[in-house]
Amino acid sequence: MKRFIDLWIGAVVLLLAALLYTTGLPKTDGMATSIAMNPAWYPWLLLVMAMICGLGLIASALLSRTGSSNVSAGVRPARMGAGLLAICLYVAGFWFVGYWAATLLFIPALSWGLGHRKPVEVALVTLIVTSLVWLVFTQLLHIPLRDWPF
Amino acid sequence: MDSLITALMMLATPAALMAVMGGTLFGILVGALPGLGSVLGITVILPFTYMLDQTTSIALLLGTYCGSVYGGSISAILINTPGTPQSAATVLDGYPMARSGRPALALGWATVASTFGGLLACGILIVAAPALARFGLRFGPIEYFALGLFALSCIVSVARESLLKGLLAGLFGLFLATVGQDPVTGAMRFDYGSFELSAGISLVPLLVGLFAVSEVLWRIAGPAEPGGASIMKAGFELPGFGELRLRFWLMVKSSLIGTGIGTLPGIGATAASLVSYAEAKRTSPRKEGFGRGEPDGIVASESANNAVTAGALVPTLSLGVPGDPVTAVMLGALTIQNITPGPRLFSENGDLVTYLFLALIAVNLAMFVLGALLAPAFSRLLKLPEPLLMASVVVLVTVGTYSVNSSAFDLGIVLLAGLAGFVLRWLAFPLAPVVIGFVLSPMIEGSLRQGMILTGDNFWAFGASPIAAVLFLLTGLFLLWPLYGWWRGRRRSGTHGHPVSGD
Repeated sequence: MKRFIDLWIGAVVLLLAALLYTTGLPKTDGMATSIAMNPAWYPWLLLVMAMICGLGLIASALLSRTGSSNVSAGVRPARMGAGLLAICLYVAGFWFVGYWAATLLFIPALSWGLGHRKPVEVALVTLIVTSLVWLVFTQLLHIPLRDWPF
Repeated sequence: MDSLITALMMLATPAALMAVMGGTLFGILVGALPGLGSVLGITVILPFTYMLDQTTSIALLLGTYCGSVYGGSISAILINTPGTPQSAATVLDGYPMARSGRPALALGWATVASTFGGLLACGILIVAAPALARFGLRFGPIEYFALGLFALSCIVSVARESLLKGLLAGLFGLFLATVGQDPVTGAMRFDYGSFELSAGISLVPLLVGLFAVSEVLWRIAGPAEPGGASIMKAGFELPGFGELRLRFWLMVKSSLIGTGIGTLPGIGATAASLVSYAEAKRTSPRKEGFGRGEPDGIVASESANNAVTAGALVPTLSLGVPGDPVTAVMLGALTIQNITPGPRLFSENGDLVTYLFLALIAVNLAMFVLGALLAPAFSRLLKLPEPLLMASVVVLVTVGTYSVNSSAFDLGIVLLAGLAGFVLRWLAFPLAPVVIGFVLSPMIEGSLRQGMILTGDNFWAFGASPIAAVLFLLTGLFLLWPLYGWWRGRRRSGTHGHPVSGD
């Protein structure tokens, strides 16, 4: 299993480096008098080194029985997806409906989702954190937050 | 003398003093809450520095940095869980001492040792940093390129899982910094027609995503950790004068170990505290008590890990090369404040350097006062449920990032970097080389290109500089050392598996 993961990582690194090399670098058409004046030279160097490392990962995975390295066991991808979605929704909510509404919903929702279900404690911490952050930014640092309605 | 008076006046302002106290308090909190740590603390505080002036920002950052290292000892002593990896060795004697009915004294020893280590290292910083900066004035682009490469290789070579993954992480950080306008020719790189990308990726959203958001995701979806340790209630008790006198030289020795290790890139406070603990255990007349609540263990670990903070600032300030992710973020924060660490900082901005030294001393003193006054309160704060803590971190970093540029693009970078950080952790890539690479990339690219112009595109001529040659040699050794270890391990296991006749 580990061997396949390392093979995959190596292949993805190779592909990504090749893709970035072909699509993201400016064309110089040999105008630069020195390689140091070529804006593509340094990123090109980095991408080539990344490709060498990617090849190294593939080679070490093929040569060894278990693969060169480990991955963290016990990760729960579904929970990660849900957590990321919650954070994305908060950021979108912060942008579109404003700080107060998004934050007052997000803290209880995430706590509930993660299994902490003590309503009084959650309500208290939500109110304290939301008010404190708002006070620090708007009153102390004079930065307006995206307040409701937006 | 004028510089000292000016620096004292800068520190005596209400804003600077508040930043010293506030930053230290925040740092202690972040350090005490297990799993958050120094990097996350500095990352969360980073957006605030945009709104503050130079002196207040410096005090806030230093307070957070030093406070977080000390804060780790509180949870190590009270709940048998180091708040930060730097306090891993403190657990060994701190928790047994607390269990034996002396939690207040254990906290007292940790506070005294931390303050002592921090202050002694400050003294060394004040002497060593200007001397190193004077040496750094001899550096040209070639030497800086070699130095940047060396610093990065130190971080990469300590990647625990795989050297290749460490290298890839470093290259990823170096690469991210190339997005946007080329500083020499003005040509666009990897912008794909996006106006926002043409300005490059900002430090704040990248770090916030990479460390803070990925940490939250990791807590949500990472491997479940055994919890449920009982939290001990504690007061604060200072050790007696006789006890202090008995352990004075141990504090000095441990602080020197911490400072020395702190100046070396990539090794860090965790190794310093473990080395210091091992050395104390080896030489202590009370060695039989180690692991059973011997104060020497707490003193050795805490003096060393707090001494690392000032030690790590020696190369950061005098050469502009960070030794770990925390000082890399500090370097970025100072750059945001139009302060460029390096040899010229000492000759051109002496007042600010003196202020920085004084602020560091003030932070260590604040750490002692806050530790003594608030230690009982921390045992209650450790009971804050993790889901509420994680949600609060998300709110704080989102608002903090938004406050820098009011940019939706930056918030998008936070999310992407958070996802990237999670995936990198999952695949056992170290995160430290990414941030060190990102911060060092402009220096490495700039000095490499200048050097190539100076040598007429002949890279081999870089070796003509003795300083660069030594640094290149060290870089090679650092990168090849893990390979040698791997080869030796294979050889040894091969020998064990197939014994040669006659052995």
